[in-house]
Amino acid sequence: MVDLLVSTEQQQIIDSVVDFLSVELPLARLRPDGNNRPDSALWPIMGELGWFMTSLTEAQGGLGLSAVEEALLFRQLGRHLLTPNVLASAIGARVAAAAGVDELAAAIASGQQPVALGNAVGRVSIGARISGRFHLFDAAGMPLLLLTDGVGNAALVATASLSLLPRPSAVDAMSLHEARLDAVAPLALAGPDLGAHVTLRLLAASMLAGVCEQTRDLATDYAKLRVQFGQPIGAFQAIKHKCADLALRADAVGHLVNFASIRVANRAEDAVFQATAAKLLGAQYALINAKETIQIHGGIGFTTECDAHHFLKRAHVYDLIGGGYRQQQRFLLEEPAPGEEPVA
Amino acid sequence: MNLDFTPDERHFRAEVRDWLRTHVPKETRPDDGPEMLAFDKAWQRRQFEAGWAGIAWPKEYGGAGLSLMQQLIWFEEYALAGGPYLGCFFVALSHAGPTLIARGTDAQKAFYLPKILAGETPWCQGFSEPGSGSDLASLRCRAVIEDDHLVVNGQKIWTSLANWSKYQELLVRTDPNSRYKGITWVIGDMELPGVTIRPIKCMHGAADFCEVFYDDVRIPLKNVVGEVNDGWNVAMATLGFERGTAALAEQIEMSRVVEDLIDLAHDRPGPDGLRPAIQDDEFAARLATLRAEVAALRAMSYAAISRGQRDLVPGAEGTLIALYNTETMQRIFRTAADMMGPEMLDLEASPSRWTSQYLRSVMQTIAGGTSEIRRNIIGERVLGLPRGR
Repeated sequence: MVDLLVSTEQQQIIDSVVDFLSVELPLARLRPDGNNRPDSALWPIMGELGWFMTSLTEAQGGLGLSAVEEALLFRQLGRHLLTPNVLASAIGARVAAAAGVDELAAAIASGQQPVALGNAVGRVSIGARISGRFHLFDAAGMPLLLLTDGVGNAALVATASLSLLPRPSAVDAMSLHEARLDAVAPLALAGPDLGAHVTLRLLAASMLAGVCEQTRDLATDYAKLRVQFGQPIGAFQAIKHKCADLALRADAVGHLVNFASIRVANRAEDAVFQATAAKLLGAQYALINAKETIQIHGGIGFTTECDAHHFLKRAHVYDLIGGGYRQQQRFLLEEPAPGEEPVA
Repeated sequence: MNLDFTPDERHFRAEVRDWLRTHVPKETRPDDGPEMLAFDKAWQRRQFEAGWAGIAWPKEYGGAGLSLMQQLIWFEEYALAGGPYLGCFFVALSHAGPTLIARGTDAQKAFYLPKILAGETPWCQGFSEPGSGSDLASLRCRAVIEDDHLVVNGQKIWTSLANWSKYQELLVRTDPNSRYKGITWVIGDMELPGVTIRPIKCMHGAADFCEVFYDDVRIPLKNVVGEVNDGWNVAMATLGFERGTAALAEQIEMSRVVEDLIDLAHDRPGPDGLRPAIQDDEFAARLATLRAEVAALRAMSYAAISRGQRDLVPGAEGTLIALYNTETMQRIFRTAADMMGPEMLDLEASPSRWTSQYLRSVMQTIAGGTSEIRRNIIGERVLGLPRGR
């Protein structure tokens, strides 16, 4: 039966994730005086919670949950602005399993072998030999690296085998390295059949939907509190209407991600279409929502004493992984339009 | 979460698809004049005879009594089959009828409902006035009780299709000293003495709506729906009704226009006059984003219907959908107009329909609630922001 709302069981999963995140990974960790532990320290705990094995079968040691629950999890990870490396571990476990390297898959899924994301900068070549320029996020202490291209090739490589050039990162509490690979052999390789690019688009879209929701809440809460001209600024239509638009974008992207996650879980014909649509819309809307959230906060919004700027910066990170929205627009135009619903 | 239709729903879709593809009128709906009225009546009559009239109405009032999911399927297939705009019967089917079902007397139901279903009596909505647009509750069209009649004096405006309607859902001021509790909802007959209708030509060329003048118009008290002075509640009771499944047909139509535009962008030269429009970065970006926005609209509608299925009290999701629907529609037709290049100025140029649709789309964010009022509703009822002073 068609039902696009979360079930009671799914809500329980969401609630437990939120409980964990608000204790272990509050937004305050990103502040200049925040107690920002290296992410890799939390990886075994995340692994234990099953975050990297939702889509592995039970035989593979996973929870046997689908892309739907996984997307719901990643929406919360997006609301808390987690490092994009959570995506790399979730997809890396799949790549290792698909390549038949079961021990590696298990080590990634359990969080014992954390995976960092290597994002292509310009054209790259991923196959039996990997070449190209990549950006690495929060790579310190991460033994593995997931590399993807736009057409569905994905590979795991050993971080230690590369020379990493530190770069000044534009994103607070997220380190940036550059690596130039020249005919590097992967530990595991998967082709387009696995659909790593589709999973990446879906989960990144879900994190972007989380950014849309969290900015809506942050800005709305502030608009109720901040008083100017004798009333809360949210009573002024100029601010109220901005908040309404934040809510509309969050609503649109949130439902689209849910819709896409079901299509991906069912390996439906329009799975790529829906996941790509979700990512390109999620990115554009998250970037506007984050910018407008700073605007609604006024002067303090532009400072590091307010969390708003983290959403703008990390929305750019989530947008750029697996190809930014301008690239996704081209990818979406290459897809056929969704077909008619089947009849009995 | 699930997107699988049940076997019964798939059977239903097969039946509906078959009937609609056979029976939807092949000719284009005339967009004005007596031909338009005749077309709308004939199409409503055809649906009535096959048992498809009033798909959202309960069976006991002669409707098809479809479930929410069946309505969704109906509207999806209706749009895919190229079904025409409900036109002169939109208000009757989606608002007046449901209001009578919810609040009318048995006599009112027995008299008016069958005539709507059978395609005999189009209705219009007499709500807005020159001084009462977004602030509807300030309406001043006056009615005083004389014996067993209401005597109406005043004016309504922006009344869509008043000149082709038999009846009107008319809101009148029966107590000038009370704002919300001084309004009465009454069934007005457009042919009564003292009613004067003047069509207003709109910017896209057609007279989509009218102003209506009332000069000592005598309406029997038995035409009051609900109680005298309780008309605001009667009007609000079913205002959400029109925002449910009916938007789906529009969304599918929008998705078809976007796909047509993408096809056209491969064939038609872009702004440089050499390469196809799809090679132009801005057209490509806009078309791709429109595709994604139309997909998001569909997901939002499915979620709203899922809420309805769970019998949750409808929230403001209808307002979110209406706002997104209308603004996306404007972006689509603006892109269409841009793609036509200089030919958009020629109403007969191929594909000509886009210029008039583009011009008409400007109305979408005003009619039935402006975008500004919708943003107020979202800000206050969804987000809990305070009202301004």
